[in-house]
Amino acid sequence: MAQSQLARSEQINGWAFILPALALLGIFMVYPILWSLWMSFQTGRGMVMSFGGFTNIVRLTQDPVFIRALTNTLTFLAIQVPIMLVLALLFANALNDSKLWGRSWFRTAIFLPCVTSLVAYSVVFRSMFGAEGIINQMLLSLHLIASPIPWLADPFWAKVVIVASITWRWTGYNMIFYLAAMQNIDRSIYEAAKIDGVPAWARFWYLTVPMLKPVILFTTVISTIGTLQLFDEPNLITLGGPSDSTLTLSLYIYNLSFKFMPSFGYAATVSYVIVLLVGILSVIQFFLARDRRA
Amino acid sequence: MPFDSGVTGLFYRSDVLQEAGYTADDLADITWDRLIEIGTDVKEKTGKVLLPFDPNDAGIIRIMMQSAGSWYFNADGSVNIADNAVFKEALSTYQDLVASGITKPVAGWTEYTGSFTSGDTVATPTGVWMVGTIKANADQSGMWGIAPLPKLDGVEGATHASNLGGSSWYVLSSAPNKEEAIDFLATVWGSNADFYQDILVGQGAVGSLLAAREGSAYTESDEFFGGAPVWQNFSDWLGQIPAVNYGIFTNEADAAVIAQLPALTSGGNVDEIAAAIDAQVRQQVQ
Repeated sequence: MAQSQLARSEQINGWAFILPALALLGIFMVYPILWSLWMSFQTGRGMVMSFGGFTNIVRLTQDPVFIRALTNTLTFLAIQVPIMLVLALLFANALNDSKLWGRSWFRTAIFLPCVTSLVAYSVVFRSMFGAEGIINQMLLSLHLIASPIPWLADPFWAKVVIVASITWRWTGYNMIFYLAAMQNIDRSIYEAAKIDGVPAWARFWYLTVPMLKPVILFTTVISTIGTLQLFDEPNLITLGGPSDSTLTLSLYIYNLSFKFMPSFGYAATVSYVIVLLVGILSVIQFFLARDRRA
Repeated sequence: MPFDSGVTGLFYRSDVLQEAGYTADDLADITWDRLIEIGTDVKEKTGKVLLPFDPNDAGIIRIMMQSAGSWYFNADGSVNIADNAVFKEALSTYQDLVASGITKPVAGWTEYTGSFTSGDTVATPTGVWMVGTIKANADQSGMWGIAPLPKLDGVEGATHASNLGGSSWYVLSSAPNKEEAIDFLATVWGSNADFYQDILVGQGAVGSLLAAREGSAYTESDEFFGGAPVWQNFSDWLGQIPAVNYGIFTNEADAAVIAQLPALTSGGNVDEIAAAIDAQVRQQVQ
Protein backbone atom coordinates (compact mmCIF):
# COMPACT_ATOMS: atom_id res chain seq x y z
CA MET A 1 0.00 0.00 0.00
CA ALA A 2 2.70 2.43 1.07
CA GLN A 3 4.71 1.30 -1.91
CA SER A 4 1.98 2.18 -4.41
CA GLN A 5 1.33 5.52 -2.72
CA LEU A 6 4.96 6.41 -3.16
CA ALA A 7 4.78 5.36 -6.79
CA ARG A 8 1.68 7.47 -7.27
CA SER A 9 3.24 10.55 -5.74
CA GLU A 10 6.33 10.03 -7.88
CA GLN A 11 4.11 9.83 -10.91
CA ILE A 12 2.34 13.06 -10.02
CA ASN A 13 5.55 14.86 -9.17
CA GLY A 14 7.15 13.67 -12.36
CA TRP A 15 4.35 14.98 -14.50
CA ALA A 16 4.24 18.21 -12.53
CA PHE A 17 7.91 18.78 -13.22
CA ILE A 18 7.63 18.35 -16.97
CA LEU A 19 4.25 20.09 -17.22
CA PRO A 20 5.68 23.59 -17.86
CA ALA A 21 7.91 22.26 -20.65
CA LEU A 22 5.04 20.24 -22.09
CA ALA A 23 2.71 23.23 -22.02
CA LEU A 24 5.24 25.46 -23.79
CA LEU A 25 5.92 22.71 -26.32
CA GLY A 26 2.22 22.35 -26.91
CA ILE A 27 1.62 26.06 -27.39
CA PHE A 28 4.69 26.84 -29.48
CA MET A 29 5.24 23.56 -31.37
CA VAL A 30 2.26 21.23 -31.53
CA TYR A 31 -0.44 23.87 -31.93
CA PRO A 32 1.29 25.80 -34.76
CA ILE A 33 2.07 22.55 -36.58
CA LEU A 34 -1.55 21.40 -36.44
CA TRP A 35 -2.83 24.87 -37.26
CA SER A 36 -0.53 25.13 -40.31
CA LEU A 37 -1.78 21.75 -41.46
CA TRP A 38 -5.33 23.10 -41.24
CA MET A 39 -4.22 26.30 -42.97
CA SER A 40 -2.72 24.36 -45.86
CA PHE A 41 -6.25 23.40 -46.89
CA GLN A 42 -7.46 26.99 -46.86
CA THR A 43 -7.44 29.42 -49.76
CA GLY A 44 -7.76 33.19 -49.93
CA ARG A 45 -5.75 36.36 -49.44
CA GLY A 46 -4.63 37.80 -46.13
CA MET A 47 -7.09 37.15 -43.34
CA VAL A 48 -9.96 36.29 -45.65
CA MET A 49 -9.68 32.51 -45.83
CA SER A 50 -12.06 29.76 -46.74
CA PHE A 51 -11.78 25.99 -46.88
CA GLY A 52 -10.48 24.95 -50.27
CA GLY A 53 -9.94 21.22 -49.96
CA PHE A 54 -7.16 20.13 -52.29
CA THR A 55 -7.12 23.42 -54.27
CA ASN A 56 -3.67 24.30 -52.96
CA ILE A 57 -2.22 20.93 -53.88
CA VAL A 58 -3.57 21.27 -57.41
CA ARG A 59 -2.11 24.78 -57.51
CA LEU A 60 1.30 23.37 -56.53
CA THR A 61 1.41 21.14 -59.57
CA GLN A 62 0.69 24.04 -61.91
CA ASP A 63 2.96 26.61 -60.30
CA PRO A 64 6.14 27.22 -62.36
CA VAL A 65 7.71 29.20 -59.50
CA PHE A 66 7.20 26.34 -57.06
CA ILE A 67 8.80 23.94 -59.54
CA ARG A 68 11.79 26.30 -59.90
CA ALA A 69 12.13 26.67 -56.13
CA LEU A 70 11.92 22.90 -55.66
CA THR A 71 14.50 22.26 -58.39
CA ASN A 72 16.87 24.85 -56.90
CA THR A 73 16.49 23.44 -53.40
CA LEU A 74 17.16 19.87 -54.56
CA THR A 75 20.13 21.09 -56.64
CA PHE A 76 21.63 22.77 -53.58
CA LEU A 77 21.02 19.61 -51.59
CA ALA A 78 22.56 17.27 -54.15
CA ILE A 79 25.66 19.40 -54.65
CA GLN A 80 26.30 21.16 -51.38
CA VAL A 81 25.73 18.42 -48.77
CA PRO A 82 28.18 15.87 -50.28
CA ILE A 83 30.87 18.53 -50.82
CA MET A 84 30.50 19.82 -47.28
CA LEU A 85 30.48 16.42 -45.57
CA VAL A 86 33.48 15.11 -47.52
CA LEU A 87 35.41 18.29 -46.72
CA ALA A 88 34.42 18.05 -43.06
CA LEU A 89 35.57 14.43 -42.92
CA LEU A 90 38.91 15.22 -44.55
CA PHE A 91 39.51 18.21 -42.27
CA ALA A 92 38.58 16.16 -39.22
CA ASN A 93 40.95 13.39 -40.23
CA ALA A 94 43.80 15.82 -40.86
CA LEU A 95 43.22 17.70 -37.61
CA ASN A 96 42.98 14.48 -35.61
CA ASP A 97 46.68 13.88 -36.19
CA SER A 98 48.30 14.54 -32.82
CA LYS A 99 51.62 15.44 -34.51
CA LEU A 100 50.09 18.29 -36.49
CA TRP A 101 51.51 21.67 -35.49
CA GLY A 102 48.93 24.27 -34.37
CA ARG A 103 46.01 21.93 -34.76
CA SER A 104 43.84 23.59 -32.13
CA TRP A 105 44.29 26.87 -33.99
CA PHE A 106 43.13 25.22 -37.24
CA ARG A 107 40.21 23.57 -35.47
CA THR A 108 39.05 26.91 -34.09
CA ALA A 109 39.56 28.65 -37.42
CA ILE A 110 37.47 26.08 -39.29
CA PHE A 111 34.77 25.99 -36.63
CA LEU A 112 34.53 29.76 -36.25
CA PRO A 113 32.31 30.48 -39.33
CA CYS A 114 29.30 28.74 -37.79
CA VAL A 115 29.31 31.01 -34.74
CA THR A 116 29.67 34.25 -36.72
CA SER A 117 26.63 36.40 -37.29
CA LEU A 118 24.69 35.34 -40.34
CA VAL A 119 23.90 38.83 -41.50
CA ALA A 120 27.45 40.07 -41.03
CA TYR A 121 28.99 37.25 -43.02
CA SER A 122 26.36 37.55 -45.75
CA VAL A 123 27.16 41.23 -46.17
CA VAL A 124 30.86 40.41 -46.36
CA PHE A 125 30.23 37.67 -48.93
CA ARG A 126 28.11 40.05 -50.98
CA SER A 127 30.91 42.55 -51.21
CA MET A 128 33.58 39.89 -51.72
CA PHE A 129 31.68 38.43 -54.65
CA GLY A 130 30.70 41.83 -56.07
CA ALA A 131 31.66 42.75 -59.62
CA GLU A 132 34.64 44.69 -58.23
CA GLY A 133 34.95 42.48 -55.18
CA ILE A 134 38.11 40.94 -53.80
CA ILE A 135 37.44 37.53 -55.39
CA ASN A 136 37.31 38.98 -58.89
CA GLN A 137 40.33 41.17 -58.25
CA MET A 138 42.29 38.18 -57.02
CA LEU A 139 41.32 35.97 -59.97
CA LEU A 140 42.06 38.82 -62.39
CA SER A 141 45.48 39.55 -60.96
CA LEU A 142 46.33 35.84 -61.06
CA HIS A 143 45.29 35.91 -64.74
CA LEU A 144 42.91 33.01 -64.16
CA ILE A 145 40.07 34.92 -65.80
CA ALA A 146 40.11 37.55 -68.53
CA SER A 147 37.09 39.58 -67.42
CA PRO A 148 35.32 39.83 -64.03
CA ILE A 149 32.84 37.03 -63.29
CA PRO A 150 29.34 38.46 -62.64
CA TRP A 151 29.01 36.36 -59.48
CA LEU A 152 25.72 37.74 -58.28
CA ALA A 153 24.25 38.84 -61.61
CA ASP A 154 24.48 35.49 -63.37
CA PRO A 155 22.10 32.60 -62.54
CA PHE A 156 24.83 29.94 -62.56
CA TRP A 157 27.46 31.85 -60.59
CA ALA A 158 24.88 33.01 -58.05
CA LYS A 159 24.20 29.33 -57.27
CA VAL A 160 27.94 28.77 -56.92
CA VAL A 161 28.18 31.65 -54.44
CA ILE A 162 25.33 30.24 -52.35
CA VAL A 163 26.87 26.75 -52.30
CA ALA A 164 30.27 28.23 -51.39
CA SER A 165 28.86 30.32 -48.56
CA ILE A 166 26.82 27.56 -46.92
CA THR A 167 29.78 25.22 -47.25
CA TRP A 168 32.05 27.81 -45.65
CA ARG A 169 29.60 28.29 -42.82
CA TRP A 170 28.73 24.71 -41.94
CA THR A 171 31.81 22.60 -42.74
CA GLY A 172 33.43 23.34 -39.38
CA TYR A 173 30.25 22.48 -37.55
CA ASN A 174 30.14 19.01 -39.09
CA MET A 175 33.88 18.60 -38.63
CA ILE A 176 33.45 18.94 -34.86
CA PHE A 177 31.05 15.95 -34.84
CA TYR A 178 33.57 13.85 -36.78
CA LEU A 179 36.46 14.94 -34.57
CA ALA A 180 34.55 14.05 -31.43
CA ALA A 181 33.67 10.63 -32.85
CA MET A 182 37.28 10.04 -33.95
CA GLN A 183 38.52 10.61 -30.41
CA ASN A 184 36.37 7.67 -29.37
CA ILE A 185 37.92 5.24 -31.81
CA ASP A 186 40.33 2.93 -30.01
CA ARG A 187 43.90 3.82 -31.08
CA SER A 188 45.00 0.19 -30.83
CA ILE A 189 42.97 -0.61 -33.96
CA TYR A 190 45.14 1.81 -35.94
CA GLU A 191 48.31 0.44 -34.35
CA ALA A 192 47.33 -3.08 -35.35
CA ALA A 193 46.57 -1.91 -38.87
CA LYS A 194 49.89 -0.09 -39.08
CA ILE A 195 51.78 -3.18 -37.99
CA ASP A 196 49.94 -5.17 -40.64
CA GLY A 197 51.17 -2.62 -43.19
CA VAL A 198 47.81 -1.06 -44.08
CA PRO A 199 48.45 2.22 -45.96
CA ALA A 200 47.10 5.53 -44.61
CA TRP A 201 44.31 5.91 -47.20
CA ALA A 202 43.05 2.41 -46.46
CA ARG A 203 43.12 3.05 -42.70
CA PHE A 204 40.94 6.08 -43.36
CA TRP A 205 38.59 4.37 -45.79
CA TYR A 206 38.24 0.92 -44.18
CA LEU A 207 38.63 1.84 -40.52
CA THR A 208 37.74 5.47 -39.82
CA VAL A 209 34.80 5.85 -42.19
CA PRO A 210 32.95 2.66 -41.13
CA MET A 211 33.55 3.49 -37.45
CA LEU A 212 32.03 6.94 -38.02
CA LYS A 213 28.96 5.60 -39.79
CA PRO A 214 26.40 6.60 -37.14
CA VAL A 215 27.85 10.13 -36.97
CA ILE A 216 27.99 10.41 -40.77
CA LEU A 217 24.34 9.36 -40.91
CA PHE A 218 23.47 11.92 -38.26
CA THR A 219 25.28 14.78 -40.03
CA THR A 220 23.77 13.77 -43.38
CA VAL A 221 20.28 13.92 -41.95
CA ILE A 222 20.72 17.28 -40.20
CA SER A 223 22.50 18.78 -43.23
CA THR A 224 19.70 17.56 -45.49
CA ILE A 225 17.12 19.17 -43.23
CA GLY A 226 19.17 22.37 -43.03
CA THR A 227 19.57 22.64 -46.79
CA LEU A 228 15.91 21.89 -47.47
CA GLN A 229 15.03 24.77 -45.15
CA LEU A 230 17.67 27.06 -46.71
CA PHE A 231 16.52 30.65 -46.40
CA ASP A 232 19.09 33.04 -44.90
CA GLU A 233 21.83 33.02 -47.50
CA PRO A 234 19.58 33.32 -50.59
CA ASN A 235 17.59 36.03 -48.82
CA LEU A 236 20.62 38.02 -47.70
CA ILE A 237 23.15 37.44 -50.47
CA THR A 238 21.14 37.05 -53.69
CA LEU A 239 17.50 37.79 -52.77
CA GLY A 240 16.61 34.59 -54.57
CA GLY A 241 17.87 36.03 -57.80
CA PRO A 242 18.91 36.64 -60.41
CA SER A 243 15.66 35.52 -61.96
CA ASP A 244 14.73 32.94 -59.31
CA SER A 245 17.99 31.04 -59.81
CA THR A 246 18.62 30.86 -56.06
CA LEU A 247 14.97 30.88 -54.98
CA THR A 248 14.51 28.14 -52.39
CA LEU A 249 11.29 26.67 -51.04
CA SER A 250 11.63 28.59 -47.76
CA LEU A 251 12.23 31.86 -49.58
CA TYR A 252 9.20 31.18 -51.75
CA ILE A 253 7.11 30.59 -48.63
CA TYR A 254 8.35 33.94 -47.33
CA ASN A 255 7.49 35.68 -50.62
CA LEU A 256 4.02 34.12 -50.69
CA SER A 257 3.33 35.24 -47.13
CA PHE A 258 5.03 38.63 -46.84
CA LYS A 259 6.14 39.99 -50.22
CA PHE A 260 3.21 39.11 -52.44
CA MET A 261 -0.44 39.60 -51.53
CA PRO A 262 -0.41 37.09 -48.69
CA SER A 263 -1.61 33.57 -49.47
CA PHE A 264 -0.94 32.01 -46.08
CA GLY A 265 -2.86 28.86 -46.96
CA TYR A 266 -0.84 28.15 -50.07
CA ALA A 267 2.40 29.06 -48.24
CA ALA A 268 1.51 26.46 -45.58
CA THR A 269 1.00 23.88 -48.34
CA VAL A 270 4.48 24.61 -49.70
CA SER A 271 5.92 24.25 -46.20
CA TYR A 272 4.37 20.79 -45.94
CA VAL A 273 6.25 19.86 -49.11
CA ILE A 274 9.45 20.48 -47.13
CA VAL A 275 8.13 18.36 -44.27
CA LEU A 276 7.35 15.56 -46.71
CA LEU A 277 10.77 15.81 -48.39
CA VAL A 278 12.60 15.76 -45.06
CA GLY A 279 10.60 12.69 -44.03
CA ILE A 280 11.21 10.79 -47.27
CA LEU A 281 14.91 11.63 -47.48
CA SER A 282 15.54 10.74 -43.84
CA VAL A 283 13.88 7.35 -44.28
CA ILE A 284 15.98 6.70 -47.39
CA GLN A 285 19.17 7.71 -45.59
CA PHE A 286 18.41 5.49 -42.60
CA PHE A 287 17.59 2.65 -44.95
CA LEU A 288 20.87 3.01 -46.87
CA ALA A 289 22.91 3.22 -43.67
CA ARG A 290 21.22 0.29 -41.89
CA ASP A 291 23.36 -2.51 -40.49
CA ARG A 292 23.52 -5.35 -42.95
CA ARG A 293 24.01 -8.73 -41.28
CA ALA A 294 24.53 -11.80 -43.34
CA MET B 1 -3.75 60.40 -50.15
CA PRO B 2 -0.63 60.45 -52.38
CA PHE B 3 2.19 62.71 -51.12
CA ASP B 4 5.57 61.60 -52.41
CA SER B 5 6.12 61.13 -56.10
CA GLY B 6 8.54 58.95 -58.01
CA VAL B 7 8.45 61.00 -61.21
CA THR B 8 11.21 59.73 -63.48
CA GLY B 9 13.98 61.27 -65.50
CA LEU B 10 17.24 60.22 -67.11
CA PHE B 11 20.10 61.11 -64.78
CA TYR B 12 23.40 61.36 -66.64
CA ARG B 13 26.99 62.49 -66.24
CA SER B 14 27.06 65.61 -68.37
CA ASP B 15 30.87 65.77 -68.33
CA VAL B 16 31.25 62.30 -69.83
CA LEU B 17 28.62 62.93 -72.48
CA GLN B 18 30.24 66.24 -73.30
CA GLU B 19 33.53 64.43 -73.81
CA ALA B 20 31.74 62.31 -76.42
CA GLY B 21 30.25 65.43 -78.00
CA TYR B 22 26.72 65.42 -76.58
CA THR B 23 24.95 68.31 -74.89
CA ALA B 24 21.72 68.48 -72.92
CA ASP B 25 19.82 69.32 -76.10
CA ASP B 26 20.93 66.06 -77.69
CA LEU B 27 19.20 64.16 -74.89
CA ALA B 28 15.97 66.15 -74.86
CA ASP B 29 12.91 64.39 -76.30
CA ILE B 30 14.68 61.31 -77.63
CA THR B 31 13.53 57.72 -78.05
CA TRP B 32 15.16 54.67 -76.48
CA ASP B 33 16.53 53.77 -79.90
CA ARG B 34 18.29 57.12 -80.08
CA LEU B 35 19.64 56.53 -76.57
CA ILE B 36 21.14 53.25 -77.79
CA GLU B 37 22.89 55.13 -80.63
CA ILE B 38 24.22 57.72 -78.18
CA GLY B 39 25.28 55.02 -75.72
CA THR B 40 27.14 53.09 -78.40
CA ASP B 41 28.92 56.26 -79.48
CA VAL B 42 29.80 57.17 -75.90
CA LYS B 43 31.20 53.70 -75.34
CA GLU B 44 33.36 53.99 -78.46
CA LYS B 45 34.68 57.42 -77.53
CA THR B 46 35.10 57.15 -73.77
CA GLY B 47 35.13 53.40 -73.17
CA LYS B 48 32.36 53.78 -70.59
CA VAL B 49 29.17 51.73 -70.42
CA LEU B 50 26.05 53.90 -70.33
CA LEU B 51 23.58 52.15 -68.02
CA PRO B 52 23.78 49.80 -65.01
CA PHE B 53 21.07 47.12 -65.18
CA ASP B 54 20.17 44.86 -62.28
CA PRO B 55 18.92 41.53 -63.67
CA ASN B 56 16.94 41.10 -60.46
CA ASP B 57 14.91 44.29 -60.88
CA ALA B 58 12.05 44.91 -63.30
CA GLY B 59 11.78 48.63 -62.47
CA ILE B 60 12.91 49.79 -65.91
CA ILE B 61 10.19 47.72 -67.62
CA ARG B 62 7.59 49.30 -65.33
CA ILE B 63 8.94 52.79 -66.07
CA MET B 64 8.67 52.18 -69.82
CA MET B 65 5.21 50.67 -69.54
CA GLN B 66 3.74 53.50 -67.52
CA SER B 67 5.35 56.13 -69.75
CA ALA B 68 2.97 54.91 -72.44
CA GLY B 69 0.00 54.65 -70.09
CA SER B 70 0.00 50.89 -69.73
CA TRP B 71 0.45 48.44 -66.87
CA TYR B 72 0.55 44.71 -66.06
CA PHE B 73 -3.17 44.93 -65.30
CA ASN B 74 -6.22 46.58 -66.82
CA ALA B 75 -8.20 49.14 -64.84
CA ASP B 76 -10.54 46.35 -63.67
CA GLY B 77 -7.59 44.38 -62.31
CA SER B 78 -7.51 41.71 -65.03
CA VAL B 79 -4.10 40.57 -66.32
CA ASN B 80 -2.88 42.52 -69.34
CA ILE B 81 0.43 41.02 -70.42
CA ALA B 82 0.46 38.55 -73.31
CA ASP B 83 -1.50 40.84 -75.64
CA ASN B 84 -0.17 44.12 -74.25
CA ALA B 85 1.62 45.83 -77.16
CA VAL B 86 3.21 48.44 -74.87
CA PHE B 87 4.54 45.80 -72.49
CA LYS B 88 6.00 43.83 -75.36
CA GLU B 89 7.59 46.97 -76.79
CA ALA B 90 9.12 47.59 -73.35
CA LEU B 91 10.48 44.01 -73.35
CA SER B 92 12.00 44.34 -76.79
CA THR B 93 13.47 47.75 -75.91
CA TYR B 94 15.08 46.12 -72.86
CA GLN B 95 16.39 43.37 -75.13
CA ASP B 96 17.82 45.93 -77.58
CA LEU B 97 19.45 47.92 -74.78
CA VAL B 98 21.23 44.84 -73.44
CA ALA B 99 22.14 43.52 -76.92
CA SER B 100 23.69 46.86 -77.90
CA GLY B 101 26.28 46.45 -75.15
CA ILE B 102 25.52 49.76 -73.44
CA THR B 103 24.32 48.13 -70.22
CA LYS B 104 26.31 46.53 -67.46
CA PRO B 105 24.89 43.90 -65.12
CA VAL B 106 24.96 44.89 -61.45
CA ALA B 107 23.77 42.89 -58.46
CA GLY B 108 21.64 44.62 -55.89
CA TRP B 109 21.08 48.20 -54.82
CA THR B 110 24.57 48.96 -53.49
CA GLU B 111 26.30 47.84 -56.67
CA TYR B 112 23.68 49.65 -58.76
CA THR B 113 24.04 53.04 -57.08
CA GLY B 114 27.79 52.53 -56.66
CA SER B 115 28.07 51.96 -60.38
CA PHE B 116 26.96 55.43 -61.42
CA THR B 117 28.13 57.40 -58.39
CA SER B 118 31.66 56.05 -58.89
CA GLY B 119 31.63 57.09 -62.55
CA ASP B 120 31.85 53.51 -63.77
CA THR B 121 28.59 53.90 -65.69
CA VAL B 122 27.28 57.15 -67.10
CA ALA B 123 23.50 57.34 -66.77
CA THR B 124 20.41 55.81 -65.22
CA PRO B 125 16.69 56.31 -65.78
CA THR B 126 15.03 56.36 -62.37
CA GLY B 127 12.78 58.19 -59.92
CA VAL B 128 13.41 61.74 -58.72
CA TRP B 129 14.29 60.46 -55.25
CA MET B 130 17.66 59.37 -56.66
CA VAL B 131 18.70 63.05 -56.41
CA GLY B 132 19.61 62.46 -52.76
CA THR B 133 21.99 59.60 -53.59
CA ILE B 134 23.60 61.50 -56.45
CA LYS B 135 24.03 64.76 -54.56
CA ALA B 136 25.69 62.88 -51.70
CA ASN B 137 28.83 62.99 -53.86
CA ALA B 138 29.57 66.69 -53.48
CA ASP B 139 32.74 66.44 -55.58
CA GLN B 140 30.60 65.62 -58.63
CA SER B 141 28.78 68.97 -58.49
CA GLY B 142 28.16 70.37 -61.94
CA MET B 143 28.92 67.03 -63.60
CA TRP B 144 25.34 65.79 -63.63
CA GLY B 145 22.36 66.52 -65.83
CA ILE B 146 18.77 65.33 -65.90
CA ALA B 147 17.01 64.71 -69.21
CA PRO B 148 13.42 63.71 -69.79
CA LEU B 149 12.85 59.97 -69.91
CA PRO B 150 13.40 58.55 -73.42
CA LYS B 151 10.18 57.60 -75.18
CA LEU B 152 9.11 54.17 -76.44
CA ASP B 153 9.29 53.95 -80.22
CA GLY B 154 6.20 53.33 -82.32
CA VAL B 155 3.77 53.11 -79.40
CA GLU B 156 0.57 55.08 -79.28
CA GLY B 157 0.37 57.36 -76.25
CA ALA B 158 4.10 57.16 -75.50
CA THR B 159 5.32 60.06 -73.35
CA HIS B 160 8.52 61.22 -71.67
CA ALA B 161 7.01 61.00 -68.21
CA SER B 162 6.67 58.04 -65.89
CA ASN B 163 6.78 57.06 -62.26
CA LEU B 164 8.89 54.73 -60.12
CA GLY B 165 7.91 54.32 -56.52
CA GLY B 166 6.25 56.95 -54.35
CA SER B 167 4.08 56.78 -51.30
CA SER B 168 0.66 57.61 -49.95
CA TRP B 169 -1.01 58.27 -46.60
CA TYR B 170 -3.82 56.06 -45.41
CA VAL B 171 -6.17 56.56 -42.49
CA LEU B 172 -7.64 53.39 -41.04
CA SER B 173 -11.42 53.43 -40.97
CA SER B 174 -11.33 52.11 -37.39
CA ALA B 175 -8.71 54.63 -36.17
CA PRO B 176 -9.59 56.26 -32.82
CA ASN B 177 -8.98 59.87 -33.96
CA LYS B 178 -9.95 59.43 -37.55
CA GLU B 179 -11.40 62.93 -38.08
CA GLU B 180 -8.34 64.64 -36.62
CA ALA B 181 -5.99 62.59 -38.76
CA ILE B 182 -7.92 63.39 -41.91
CA ASP B 183 -8.00 67.06 -40.97
CA PHE B 184 -4.23 67.08 -40.39
CA LEU B 185 -3.51 65.41 -43.70
CA ALA B 186 -5.89 67.69 -45.56
CA THR B 187 -4.45 70.94 -44.16
CA VAL B 188 -0.75 70.07 -44.14
CA TRP B 189 -0.23 67.42 -46.79
CA GLY B 190 -3.24 68.34 -48.87
CA SER B 191 -3.03 72.12 -49.17
CA ASN B 192 0.06 73.63 -47.53
CA ALA B 193 2.27 74.48 -50.52
CA ASP B 194 5.00 75.96 -48.26
CA PHE B 195 5.35 72.64 -46.49
CA TYR B 196 6.22 71.03 -49.82
CA GLN B 197 8.88 73.71 -50.45
CA ASP B 198 10.45 72.74 -47.12
CA ILE B 199 10.60 69.00 -47.77
CA LEU B 200 11.88 69.62 -51.29
CA VAL B 201 14.79 71.75 -50.09
CA GLY B 202 15.47 69.71 -46.95
CA GLN B 203 14.78 66.17 -48.14
CA GLY B 204 14.70 66.30 -51.96
CA ALA B 205 11.16 64.94 -51.84
CA VAL B 206 9.00 65.94 -54.77
CA GLY B 207 5.47 66.05 -53.43
CA SER B 208 2.53 65.11 -55.53
CA LEU B 209 0.49 68.22 -54.66
CA LEU B 210 0.33 69.95 -58.03
CA ALA B 211 -0.29 73.38 -56.45
CA ALA B 212 3.08 73.18 -54.71
CA ARG B 213 4.83 73.45 -58.07
CA GLU B 214 4.30 77.21 -58.16
CA GLY B 215 6.34 77.69 -54.97
CA SER B 216 9.76 79.34 -54.89
CA ALA B 217 11.78 76.21 -54.15
CA TYR B 218 10.43 74.53 -57.26
CA THR B 219 11.50 77.35 -59.55
CA GLU B 220 15.07 77.55 -58.32
CA SER B 221 17.88 76.07 -60.34
CA ASP B 222 20.47 73.68 -58.97
CA GLU B 223 24.18 74.18 -59.52
CA PHE B 224 24.79 70.51 -58.90
CA PHE B 225 22.91 69.79 -62.11
CA GLY B 226 24.66 72.47 -64.14
CA GLY B 227 22.28 75.24 -63.09
CA ALA B 228 19.24 73.63 -64.69
CA PRO B 229 15.79 74.19 -63.13
CA VAL B 230 15.58 70.50 -62.22
CA TRP B 231 12.65 70.77 -59.82
CA GLN B 232 10.59 72.74 -62.30
CA ASN B 233 11.32 70.11 -64.94
CA PHE B 234 10.40 67.26 -62.64
CA SER B 235 7.19 68.91 -61.60
CA ASP B 236 6.32 69.53 -65.26
CA TRP B 237 6.86 65.87 -66.02
CA LEU B 238 4.89 64.99 -62.91
CA GLY B 239 1.84 66.61 -64.46
CA GLN B 240 2.29 64.54 -67.62
CA ILE B 241 2.57 61.06 -66.10
CA PRO B 242 -0.08 58.83 -67.67
CA ALA B 243 -2.39 57.51 -64.99
CA VAL B 244 -2.58 53.75 -64.57
CA ASN B 245 -4.19 51.50 -61.99
CA TYR B 246 -1.39 49.55 -60.29
CA GLY B 247 -3.69 47.03 -58.67
CA ILE B 248 -2.39 44.89 -55.82
CA PHE B 249 -0.28 42.31 -57.65
CA THR B 250 2.69 44.33 -58.90
CA ASN B 251 5.17 42.25 -56.87
CA GLU B 252 3.82 39.03 -58.37
CA ALA B 253 4.06 40.43 -61.90
CA ASP B 254 7.55 41.80 -61.24
CA ALA B 255 8.71 38.39 -60.04
CA ALA B 256 7.35 36.83 -63.24
CA VAL B 257 9.15 39.42 -65.40
CA ILE B 258 12.43 38.96 -63.51
CA ALA B 259 12.18 35.19 -64.00
CA GLN B 260 12.16 35.75 -67.75
CA LEU B 261 14.89 38.42 -67.97
CA PRO B 262 17.70 35.91 -68.74
CA ALA B 263 15.61 34.53 -71.62
CA LEU B 264 15.09 38.09 -72.81
CA THR B 265 18.74 39.12 -72.60
CA SER B 266 19.87 35.97 -74.38
CA GLY B 267 17.74 37.01 -77.35
CA GLY B 268 14.55 35.01 -76.79
CA ASN B 269 11.32 35.63 -78.68
CA VAL B 270 9.42 38.50 -77.06
CA ASP B 271 5.95 37.04 -77.76
CA GLU B 272 6.88 33.73 -76.16
CA ILE B 273 8.44 35.48 -73.17
CA ALA B 274 5.36 37.67 -72.71
CA ALA B 275 3.20 34.55 -72.87
CA ALA B 276 5.31 32.84 -70.20
CA ILE B 277 5.12 35.91 -67.94
CA ASP B 278 1.37 36.08 -68.53
CA ALA B 279 0.96 32.42 -67.56
CA GLN B 280 2.97 32.82 -64.36
CA VAL B 281 1.12 35.98 -63.30
CA ARG B 282 -2.28 34.38 -63.91
CA GLN B 283 -1.17 31.40 -61.87
CA GLN B 284 0.05 33.62 -59.02
CA VAL B 285 -2.92 35.98 -58.73
CA GLN B 286 -5.63 33.31 -58.66
